[in-house]
Amino acid sequence: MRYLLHFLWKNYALLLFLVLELISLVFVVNGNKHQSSVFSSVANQYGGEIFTSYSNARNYFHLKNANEQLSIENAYLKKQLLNYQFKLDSNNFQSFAAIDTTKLILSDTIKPIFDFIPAKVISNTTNRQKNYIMFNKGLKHGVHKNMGVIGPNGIVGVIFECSDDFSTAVSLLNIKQSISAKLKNNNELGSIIWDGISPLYGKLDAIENYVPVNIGDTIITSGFSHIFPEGENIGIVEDFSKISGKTSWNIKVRFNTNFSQLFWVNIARNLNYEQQMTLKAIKLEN
Amino acid sequence: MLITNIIRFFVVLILQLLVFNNIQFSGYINPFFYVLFILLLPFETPKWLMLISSFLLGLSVDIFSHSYGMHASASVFIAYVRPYVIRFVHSKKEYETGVLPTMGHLGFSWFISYASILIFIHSFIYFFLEVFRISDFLNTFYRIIYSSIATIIVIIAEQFLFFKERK
Repeated sequence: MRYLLHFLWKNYALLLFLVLELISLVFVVNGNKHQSSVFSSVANQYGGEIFTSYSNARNYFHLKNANEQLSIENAYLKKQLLNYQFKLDSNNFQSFAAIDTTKLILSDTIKPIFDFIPAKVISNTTNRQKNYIMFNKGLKHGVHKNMGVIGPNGIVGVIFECSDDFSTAVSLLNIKQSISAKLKNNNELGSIIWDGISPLYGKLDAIENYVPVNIGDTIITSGFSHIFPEGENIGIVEDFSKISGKTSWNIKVRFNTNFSQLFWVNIARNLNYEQQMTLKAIKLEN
Repeated sequence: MLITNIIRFFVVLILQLLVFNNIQFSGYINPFFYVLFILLLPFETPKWLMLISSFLLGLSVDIFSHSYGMHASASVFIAYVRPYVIRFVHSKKEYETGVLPTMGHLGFSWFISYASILIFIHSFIYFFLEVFRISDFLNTFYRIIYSSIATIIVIIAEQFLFFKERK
């Protein structure tokens, strides 16, 4: 210990130089946007590589759980597939039978507008106020910023940073996140936010008092943000109450997704994203 | 001595911000006049004082140039490297007490080698931080060369103007 202190005292100039240099480098990366983004994407790439090996080791112990989740999701998807198959088949008889307009609208929505990229979770937190999740798919696999991430039971977050091989999403468990949602029963629009208290519950905002709400109502994505397809599960109403002084309900939502047991997700790519975004931008200018 | 240096600190800072920051040819040439302060610090200055004062100088230039931390980083680096450069550039005259690292005291050729090395290192660090990547190395290198030349010209001009021959 004494030798260490002696060594440090002899070379105090080097030490002071390193400290000051570090401080100025911190200023550089924090205060300048360009440096910040370069640093952030490089950190994403290298952090991702380290996290992959760590999570590979960890996932081995969760294999049974992950397999169960996957088989449940498989069964659900197969059921969906059968439904669409049936609808497609029945459309073939359109020209011979009287045209049912509701069936025509349904056939429009069958056209694929979202593509799904499967990904594995390599880094996740649930205990902070701002939680982020990292996946093992990146720019090379077609993942870009602002893509929605959907887990086996419900939505998980939105991608905000990508590098070549990895991407990071802002989790739903993040006080800065807000997702456009609606009640399944009556299509009333609101937004899902997180209050930072429990990883199991969130809040549904902006549902007016005149809207009838019941415990157990399903909350799904509205599709209006163009980040998630319409109708993806978010959660169910756990409790609701009036807020004095405001005209909207205070709705407590139980998230469908179990954030602490998240292994496999699908990253949703909106095939029409650029079109829809440029159209939105034009409207704002006017 | 101390007062001269303190005054020099502020004069150099003000001149850099008001005059030299506005001189920019074709986006390449940025003369860094404030480096003069670090070059002219007396030989006997304790290392901690050199490091801290150049950090503060660089930081002050940064704040007004909206380049948080880049000037500070480059200035601290050359303050640290300065003693090694001085040892590298031998002088025919001895480093007696009272001798300052200026052109008047130690001669033109000594000063130009000492100043060019430090200015080149300073520009190197600064432009690499500004670009923050290793690709496009040639482009960045041109900027370093042109800025170094501009800074050297400006500093040599200042030395000629305030020439105090001492023998």
